[in-house]
Amino acid sequence: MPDDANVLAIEGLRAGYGALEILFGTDLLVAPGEFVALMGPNGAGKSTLLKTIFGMTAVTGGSIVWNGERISGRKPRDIRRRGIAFVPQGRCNFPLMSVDENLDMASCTIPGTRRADRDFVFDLFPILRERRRYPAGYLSGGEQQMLEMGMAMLQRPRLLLIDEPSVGLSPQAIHQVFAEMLRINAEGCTVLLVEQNTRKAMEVAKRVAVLRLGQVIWTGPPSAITHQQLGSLFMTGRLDMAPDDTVFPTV
Amino acid sequence: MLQNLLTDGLVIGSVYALVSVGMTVILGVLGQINFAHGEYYMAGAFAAWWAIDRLGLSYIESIPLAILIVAVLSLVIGYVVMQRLVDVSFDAGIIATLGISLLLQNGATLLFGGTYQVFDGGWLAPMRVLGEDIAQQRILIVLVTLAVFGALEWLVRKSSFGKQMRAVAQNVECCHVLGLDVRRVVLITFILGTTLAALSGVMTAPITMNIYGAMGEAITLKSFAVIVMGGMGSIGGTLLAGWVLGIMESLVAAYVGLQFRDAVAFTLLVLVLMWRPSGFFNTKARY
Repeated sequence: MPDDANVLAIEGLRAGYGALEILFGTDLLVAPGEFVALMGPNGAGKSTLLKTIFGMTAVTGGSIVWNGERISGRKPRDIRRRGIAFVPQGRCNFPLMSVDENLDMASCTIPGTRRADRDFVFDLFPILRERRRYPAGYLSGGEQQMLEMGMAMLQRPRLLLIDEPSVGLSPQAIHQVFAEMLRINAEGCTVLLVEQNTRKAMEVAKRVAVLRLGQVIWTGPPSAITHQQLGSLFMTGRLDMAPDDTVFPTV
Repeated sequence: MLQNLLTDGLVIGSVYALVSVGMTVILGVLGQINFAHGEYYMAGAFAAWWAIDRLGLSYIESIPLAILIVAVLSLVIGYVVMQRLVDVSFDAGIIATLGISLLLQNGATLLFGGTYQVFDGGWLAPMRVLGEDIAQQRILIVLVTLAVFGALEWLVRKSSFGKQMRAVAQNVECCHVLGLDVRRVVLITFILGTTLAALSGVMTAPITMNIYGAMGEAITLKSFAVIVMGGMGSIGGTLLAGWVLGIMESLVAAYVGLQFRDAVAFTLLVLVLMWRPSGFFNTKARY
């Protein structure tokens, strides 16, 4: 059992939306404290994998084991209570409610969250303390992303799933969001990141996992792969795209 | 004469506001117009009439019983139908609630017959207020309406459940991510909304005196006009819009002609949609 502590083990996972299957036997093992960047072309199933770990899609096969316990098939609420937090893509807050009320909503489904946890979030993102009475919708894009990460961190998760945090943000805000993720990771929280900005993701991640057509086809440290090889993996599924390999058929 | 018309309008307007605010909270949380809303108003009136006429209870005893009966009814309807409407299209919601409306109207006709029933209850003795004789029941309607709106404002702004209602209204997807029980919030909000309609029905029946199965139809359509005028989701706006409609109806009935009274709501609705589609009291968004 100690070997399983805070390990995320995904085996032969099949999942999707109704009749539409997106993941076809995905395997991924994430060790405690890792920072893994999930990459892959559009439609590879990156977001679906995060949603599936968090219990938001229909699992049709395989298993997800977290902390020695099978969590596939459980509801998001139960999964949150087991120390996993999810920051989905796009704006996920309540725009007309204040920062404080947004944090209230994040804590009301987790029994036992205290004042100290609120302070923990405010220490992590001091800008939120300044803005606590403002409606979330009045915050800048970067501040809203911090709020959403704050809502996830309120429960002090041991695994953070975060989907495309850089979308629509200014370069400074992107820089800050990535710095915060590194800090969260340095404090011992495992991070599983989906990111289109491959350059940025490879700077921060300790390991890259490439997803293509619903399967993990390559994994290793960012130093073990060049951007060119990554591009080749995305398009052909092979590392060694020969120069004369045609990706697009010529007429 | 004018003062009389204004008080009359205020009383009727309070009735409209009380029914409509139930439709407003359901719209806010569920994103659907409850086209069966007037039927819960009718059900409230019929349940109280049944308690008085058949069980021999007094009017005051019939009020909580009627609300309880409608609460149980909407618990069942909420569980079977309304909970499923969170993530379906708007037109599916219209069809579903119109279907419930037909069921409830015809159910009442089957149970209690197609004729008018006389509602025998309430406090109709006059009271002198500001030099005018007004039936106690009418004063009570205005007071209850004010109390309900005060309580609702508090509930939505300050209470934990009210925050959850606003959360569901603003971002259902995010509620799922946080593990909020969206279906529970929808169900409780629906019961809250329909019991407000029922309360309005019980309070109004002593004044209208006649009750019948289809009495809710006009109420549904007028409520729709009221919530559009009130800004689709604003609680304070609904109260003011209800009063505006009540007073306009009362003035039109006196100075233009009684037959034009029921046209006021729809004329106002058309005018508002033409010139100010976000309502008189725009809150920019729900809640």
